[in-house]
Amino acid sequence: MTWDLLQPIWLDSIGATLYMVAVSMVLGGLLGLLIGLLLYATRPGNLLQNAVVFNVLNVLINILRPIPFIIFITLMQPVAKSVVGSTIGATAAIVPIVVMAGVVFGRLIEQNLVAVDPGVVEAAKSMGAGNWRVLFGVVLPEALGPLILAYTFLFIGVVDMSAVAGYIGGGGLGDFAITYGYQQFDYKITLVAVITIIVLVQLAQYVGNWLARRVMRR
Amino acid sequence: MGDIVTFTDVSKVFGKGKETHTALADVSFGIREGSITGVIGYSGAGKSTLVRLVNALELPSSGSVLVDGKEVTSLNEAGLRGLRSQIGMIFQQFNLFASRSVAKNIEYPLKLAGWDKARRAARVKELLEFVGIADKANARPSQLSGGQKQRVGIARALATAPKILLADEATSALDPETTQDVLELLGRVNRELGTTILVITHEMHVVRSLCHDVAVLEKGRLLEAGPVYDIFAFPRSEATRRFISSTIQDRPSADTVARLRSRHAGRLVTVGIRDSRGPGAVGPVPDGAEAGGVLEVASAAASVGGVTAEVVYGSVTEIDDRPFGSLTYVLGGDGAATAAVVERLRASSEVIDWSDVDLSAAAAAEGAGK
Repeated sequence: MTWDLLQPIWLDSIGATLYMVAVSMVLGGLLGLLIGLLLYATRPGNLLQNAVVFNVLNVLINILRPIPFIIFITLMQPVAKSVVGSTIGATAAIVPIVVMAGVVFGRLIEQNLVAVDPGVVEAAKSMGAGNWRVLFGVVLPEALGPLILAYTFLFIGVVDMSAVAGYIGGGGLGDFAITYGYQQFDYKITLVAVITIIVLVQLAQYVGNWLARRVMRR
Repeated sequence: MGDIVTFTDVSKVFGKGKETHTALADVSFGIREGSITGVIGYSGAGKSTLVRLVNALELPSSGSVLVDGKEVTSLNEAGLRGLRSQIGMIFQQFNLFASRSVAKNIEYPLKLAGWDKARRAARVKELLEFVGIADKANARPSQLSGGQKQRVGIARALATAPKILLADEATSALDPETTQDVLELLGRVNRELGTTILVITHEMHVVRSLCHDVAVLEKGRLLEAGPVYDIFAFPRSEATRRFISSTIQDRPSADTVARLRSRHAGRLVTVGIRDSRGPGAVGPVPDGAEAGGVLEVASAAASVGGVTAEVVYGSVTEIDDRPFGSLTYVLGGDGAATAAVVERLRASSEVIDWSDVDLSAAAAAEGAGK
């Protein structure tokens, strides 16, 4: 196929990828924030110490994370069907991406919150700050720089997942590379798709680094 | 004035079941309102736990902690927050919020206390000037030196004008010169604002130059508490005396004594030089009075007769404007006469007769104490 014919498809693929990534980043980010805060707060010895919540979440994450994403997509098909009414297409692909992104980001958030200096938490407590104010007023702001970097890391993971999702009919750049590159024996098209993904990722990493630096002001 | 903090039979045990650790055991003493009280002891003695009982960052396992008339153990969560907002705390590692500017760090406790914006801004400005870093308001903590960071810590701790300031090894991460500056600032806080300060430290010079009172902890037990001079000069327990002499060199080491022995014939004795008014005296020694110990040696030597006394080693300084130190004499004369002098001296002064002491055992004990 000539590039004249392929170019609109390529642009559509970029659009589909951006759609999947954007929605997944927002929903997965929120899910991750919730999971991460819960993991941190319910951790033994922490603000809202709760062994049941902590252990259930902890085990759940440990079960989900090692599942290869391509298998996870098929595993999530019943869930996708009940949530968005379909198992194919970009919107259906978003469901497993959001869940996996939430789990990964939740763990990343937990790790960065745990790394906040306990002395700073103690200082806030010594001034009379309650649990919620310590969490949202001190722990989160102190960890904000690393959290932005973690979110950037998540973006790259989500782009990767969206490309895999393309393989099962999710559309996007992954689908484009497979359908018009690999299956047509057109190595150049594969390269185009890969380069496009690299550019996207580089842009995101650049923005993420810049934001994190601004927040940390080091 | 009375006690602003009273510990009564306080114990603190960490852990459960078999894996327990007793951080404090049956500690009872009071902290005078308006005083600077030092808490000293080796690491692991329970110092940090003790001060954290005051602002209820730790709760006692048993016993009572009375702070400004309130029983800490009876307060609920809201009551605890109210108590904490009236007690400032500074830390060895400063514990500033890296994500906030200097001014915002100082402002944080005021926000917690619900001050409005205009009052907060005015108070922050006042505090910055008080601690001498008015030009650093918009700096980030990471841009400051250690001494400046602790000044921010102090300003932040004082923001709500607390009655009590807790200082947890506040100068241990600072160089000697900066330490002196920060100690002077803490002294000024005490004098000008009337804040009661509780200072945890393992540095004896902090106690000497800053504190009025001192409490000595060892392995979770309170050895002694009282005015700094009395504890240093007239320790009641052997354990306190050991702790004091391991941290301030108030007597020659075994090595030094061995060297002195090889150089001087005669009986070597070390005499403690103290305020002759004894423990409990207040204020500087009156004009014309001699430091206890010096005259006693002269008069004991004179009354026995045929004994010479020569100072060969020692130093005398002041703590709280009162003399403190030791002098080592070599007593010349026959053995019975010098022994009689030592006997007389013991009635009035702290005396070590080095001829009684096994030096190799003393050297081993010194090594173990370090």
